[in-house]
Amino acid sequence: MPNLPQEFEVLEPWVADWALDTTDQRLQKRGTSTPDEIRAFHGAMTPMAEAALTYLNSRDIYSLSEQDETLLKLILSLGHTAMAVEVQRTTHQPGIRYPHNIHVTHGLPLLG
Amino acid sequence: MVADSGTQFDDEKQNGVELEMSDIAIEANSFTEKNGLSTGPLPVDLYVSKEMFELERDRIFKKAWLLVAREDEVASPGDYMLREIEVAKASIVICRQKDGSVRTFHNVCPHRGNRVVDKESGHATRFVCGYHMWTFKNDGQLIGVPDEKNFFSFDKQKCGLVEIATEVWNGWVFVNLAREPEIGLKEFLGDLDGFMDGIEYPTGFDQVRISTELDCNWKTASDAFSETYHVPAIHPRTIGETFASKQNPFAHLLDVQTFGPHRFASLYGNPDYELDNGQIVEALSFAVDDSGGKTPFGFTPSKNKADNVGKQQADASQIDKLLSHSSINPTRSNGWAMDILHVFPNTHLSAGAGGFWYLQFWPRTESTCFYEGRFYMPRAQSAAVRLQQEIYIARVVEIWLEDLQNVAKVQKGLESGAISEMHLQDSEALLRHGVEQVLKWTSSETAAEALEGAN
Repeated sequence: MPNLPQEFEVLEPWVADWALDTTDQRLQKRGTSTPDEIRAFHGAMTPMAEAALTYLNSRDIYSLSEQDETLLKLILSLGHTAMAVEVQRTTHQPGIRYPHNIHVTHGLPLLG
Repeated sequence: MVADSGTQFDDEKQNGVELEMSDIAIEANSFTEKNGLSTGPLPVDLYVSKEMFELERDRIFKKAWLLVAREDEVASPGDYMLREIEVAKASIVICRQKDGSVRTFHNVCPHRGNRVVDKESGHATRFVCGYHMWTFKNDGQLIGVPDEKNFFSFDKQKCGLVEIATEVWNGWVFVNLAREPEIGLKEFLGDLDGFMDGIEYPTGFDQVRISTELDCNWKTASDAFSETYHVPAIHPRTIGETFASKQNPFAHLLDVQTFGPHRFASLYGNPDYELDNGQIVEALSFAVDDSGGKTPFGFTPSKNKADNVGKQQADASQIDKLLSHSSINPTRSNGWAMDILHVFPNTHLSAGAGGFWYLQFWPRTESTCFYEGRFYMPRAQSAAVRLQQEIYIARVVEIWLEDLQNVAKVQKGLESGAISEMHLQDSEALLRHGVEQVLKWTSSETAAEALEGAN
């Protein structure tokens, strides 16, 4: 059984590392990945993001199929790498030791 | 791993600050003097001394009312949650009762002192101590003692969980750890009660909790979140352009008010802020669905002010109702980011264009603390809005990282003994009020004395 909806099969190589269940896992993944890993994931996801969001937006996010939910997990990880690549324009803040010790200890009901 | 791109980042940051600071258009205010605060340098020993820490513990945290929860964290009868108040070595269990009231108990078995409840939160009408299976109702009453007959003239009525004084105010749950509180909550809140009268917070929102341990005094951490003077320097990319602008390059405050030990500031927000072209993912999320519209800091680009529909409309109208209250953005400024209501001693209640959240700074030692934020968001109804929430959380963490590496450096600097006083400007009025109040409480024998002349 494929991990992702057919239209998004091309993202399969990223599923194992970046399709994570919770916000804290995604946050820590961004913090513990190397700059190259972050840029590679971000670069692969960004061109697919609009299509993926449009695809998911036509669905009830609280009853997604397993494949659709995996796609959403990837999109949510993209939110974290966007903060690094697009907002900070550096993957890791200078002077901070990663992994850092800030945690999301209670997340949103969906994939939080 | 330590970041590898520091040099380039630092250079860019410096340039950004210089550009912004070349244009001073907003006049200096005099919030400090208007609120009757001092203007001279202030001592720093209360940030580093063990003796001061012990006085804070005994005269503030064990005598003042402490905000410990939002009422809807224990929404239904039987709901409970734990709070660890380490500074007082107290574990407390906050319980919603059958009659709708909220009661709080020490999480300590009256038999021999064992911890009764371990789960952070849940739903239970009874609690069982794991040591000898004593069983309590969630109103504290002891109802089950195995082999009870083997005790000596034993009175079960007297062996319930030890209750803690608890009051609810505008949906905020307060406790007082003194066995007999020296002051009532009304007295403690003073004029703050009138300021907040009639406020209606949204209900039924989801909560996101973010927390961390810090290598600094609890006041050093609170200070970092109490002034905007540092925003252009420390947060050039994350919020530099939302909390400052060419018109207000130093992020001057809109308003400061004090209420006894409590204090309030309204923070400027750049009304012209828009996402820059490089922020592709966040912009896409709004392009696909801007019906969620807002996140709690009001980061939403101004071009995306949304007409909300359906459930989101109900959520948005709850937020609008909150924001319409006279205590929120009291200057009714078009350029408004958020408010900080510092409820003494250690809580910031905040509201912004998208909703509300609260931050807490819990002392551990004179040089360490626990910092936690609880952010409220309407339930996302689409993937794009869920992504906006995720980006919001990522941004909060990013801002905290910027602040928190800084507070550890500040703490070290203070502990070095190099300086004995600090110099605060008008935008740091909340810090000044904070220092004055801590000095007042720690030098007062009783809470009533600490409140004298407060309002």
